[in-house]
Amino acid sequence: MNRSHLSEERLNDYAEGALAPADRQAVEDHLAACADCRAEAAGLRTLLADLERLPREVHPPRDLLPQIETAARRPEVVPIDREGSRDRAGSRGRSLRDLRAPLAAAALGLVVVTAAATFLFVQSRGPEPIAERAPGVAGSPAPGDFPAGFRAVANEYDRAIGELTATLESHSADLDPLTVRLVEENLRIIDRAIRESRAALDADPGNELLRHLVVASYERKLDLLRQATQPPAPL
Amino acid sequence: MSDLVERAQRGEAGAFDRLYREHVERVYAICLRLSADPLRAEGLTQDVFVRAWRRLDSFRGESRFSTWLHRIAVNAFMEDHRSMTRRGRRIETTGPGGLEAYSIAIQSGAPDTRLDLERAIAALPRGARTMIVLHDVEGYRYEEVAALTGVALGTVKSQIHRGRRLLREALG
Repeated sequence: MNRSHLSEERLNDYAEGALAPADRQAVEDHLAACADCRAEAAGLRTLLADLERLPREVHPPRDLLPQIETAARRPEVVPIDREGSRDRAGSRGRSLRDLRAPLAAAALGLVVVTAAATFLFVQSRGPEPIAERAPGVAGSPAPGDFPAGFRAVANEYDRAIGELTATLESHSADLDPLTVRLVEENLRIIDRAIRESRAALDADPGNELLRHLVVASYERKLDLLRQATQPPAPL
Repeated sequence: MSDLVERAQRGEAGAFDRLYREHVERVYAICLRLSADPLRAEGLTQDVFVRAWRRLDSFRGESRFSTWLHRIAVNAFMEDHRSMTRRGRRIETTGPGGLEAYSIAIQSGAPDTRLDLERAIAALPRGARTMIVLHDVEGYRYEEVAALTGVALGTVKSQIHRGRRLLREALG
């Protein structure tokens, strides 16, 4: 484009109808005499019209409402449901059948950590029946040992999840590639949430909402890993 | 304010569900085009509705509910983007499935769309894609895009001009 042509900014402003009348007229005078700029302007206008015509609605691949409702309500309650123990036991049984022993062992570790986290939350909120599961958990923090105890639990989560993830990776060749890809991407998202919520909690250790967010993120990761070990994985 | 929003604010059973059904496709469309990543778009869409649920009481009807929701969507995306950038993560142009995964998602979710244009948008550098989607597809004014993204107005315009140039090159 030589110096006599309209600038890109001028052409864009013209194509968008953003020029004052006098400026618009000057551009149109130029376009009448310059085929190159005329073609540029026409191309831009076509593109803008095409972009504007794109559908504004895209149907998501699945119903997201159940997870939304669960996540939205989570901060208002203990983030581990009362039936978690039973569900996890069932999951572990399926894992043992469908997968390899190391995977199941790692899953068992996650159950322990979950119980410890539950205990921690219960202790910070007052006695609830679910706390009865906690005293047998090795390394569970003493009441009032917060947030140091919480960090210990979080570290346990990290350790157990790390083991489960490593096992999953070592057997990824046996799994459907699409499943592996979906799991990896979701893990990436969840890991971000975990890092951010933990960093925030470090800065504000007494913040109950942040404690919820940390455990909710770990729970989400736990759920995903558990699903990934139970093909077909419903993501 | 719509009757449905008021009923949702009162906690009436089923009201939020209906709000979700009415708006999820618009929200998912924004999230999908901004992220160019079907999985991330799902996560963002969930985040948007979770935020909306929690903040529903703060909605006073000063704007349309859809406008309010779409702003939450853009904010959720931008926060996610900033967080990734802060941690120095490599910013991928598209998600892990690349353009193919994106194509499948956009085509199955909007069968009438122009796939070549959608793919060209998804393949844009993130900055240009964000501006193009917000301004040229969603219709936000330049000033609104600058405010939403925290990017200087001049940069917004230059990114949009660059994005349009790249789109035209890609579309031949």
